[in-house]
Amino acid sequence: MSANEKTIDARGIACPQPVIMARQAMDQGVETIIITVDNMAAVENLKRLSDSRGYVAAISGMEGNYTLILDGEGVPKPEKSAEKEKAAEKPETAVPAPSAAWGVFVGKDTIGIGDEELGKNLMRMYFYTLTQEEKAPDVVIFMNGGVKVPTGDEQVAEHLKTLEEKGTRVLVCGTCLNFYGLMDQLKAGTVSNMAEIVEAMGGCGKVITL
Amino acid sequence: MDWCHVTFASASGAMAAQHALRGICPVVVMPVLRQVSAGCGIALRVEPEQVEQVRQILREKAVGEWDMYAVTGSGRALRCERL
Repeated sequence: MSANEKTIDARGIACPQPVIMARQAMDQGVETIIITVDNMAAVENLKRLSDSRGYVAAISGMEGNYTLILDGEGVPKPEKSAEKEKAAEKPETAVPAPSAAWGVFVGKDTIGIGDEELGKNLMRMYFYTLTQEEKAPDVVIFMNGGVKVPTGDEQVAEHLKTLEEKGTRVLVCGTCLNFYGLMDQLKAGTVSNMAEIVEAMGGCGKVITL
Repeated sequence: MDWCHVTFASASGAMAAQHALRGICPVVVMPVLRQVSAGCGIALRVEPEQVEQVRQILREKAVGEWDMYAVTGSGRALRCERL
């Protein structure tokens, strides 16, 4: 195995750890990462990480044992420039301007607590209205019971597709989809992980929780 | 008419209408248009070719008071007229 190659056995390791491990290897400049995972959510998340970093992912294996070879040939190596190092040493004094990006966090399949049917209709009305707004959210995140929305509600799923066409990232927690047995019923959005969700939230000036 | 906006006297009336139409006519749940009422309420969006069928079902199922509006345009150019 060359210094530019790393093998990671991430079987039995919970999401988002496999993604974090692969990302760390990429940050270290490893060119070829061979990573083994045991679930499709991890495969999807690693594929997207790979795409976003310019790596090419080759996948093999079957149920419970997938191997991904992430090939980063030609991808520029991360290196600390003198300027970056200087900036890192300098204490930050100015308060950065808040980002104009905004997000919506959906942690349950109703809006508010009370009548369930009313709450589900409020969810439909909310997403209908979002599609009509000039400034769509930059990201919509579904976690826990919220994943029942992009899997079970046809109307909201259509609105989410419209939002995606407008540039909104729709992230759906893979761990939650697995927990509820809904992985194969996702109608809109992409299977995501905690690392990506935290990163997406961090890029927003505000995140509204429904 | 681009589409039809159906409003109800109450949220429970709107939900009763949803139940009545389920599996028969596809409808989209949406808030009552600002052009129709300043208040908040559940309304339905219906395609023009389904208006008559929806009208008939709502009459038969007696879901309470409801109104229909013909909607054209969108955004600031949106216009609605009572049917």
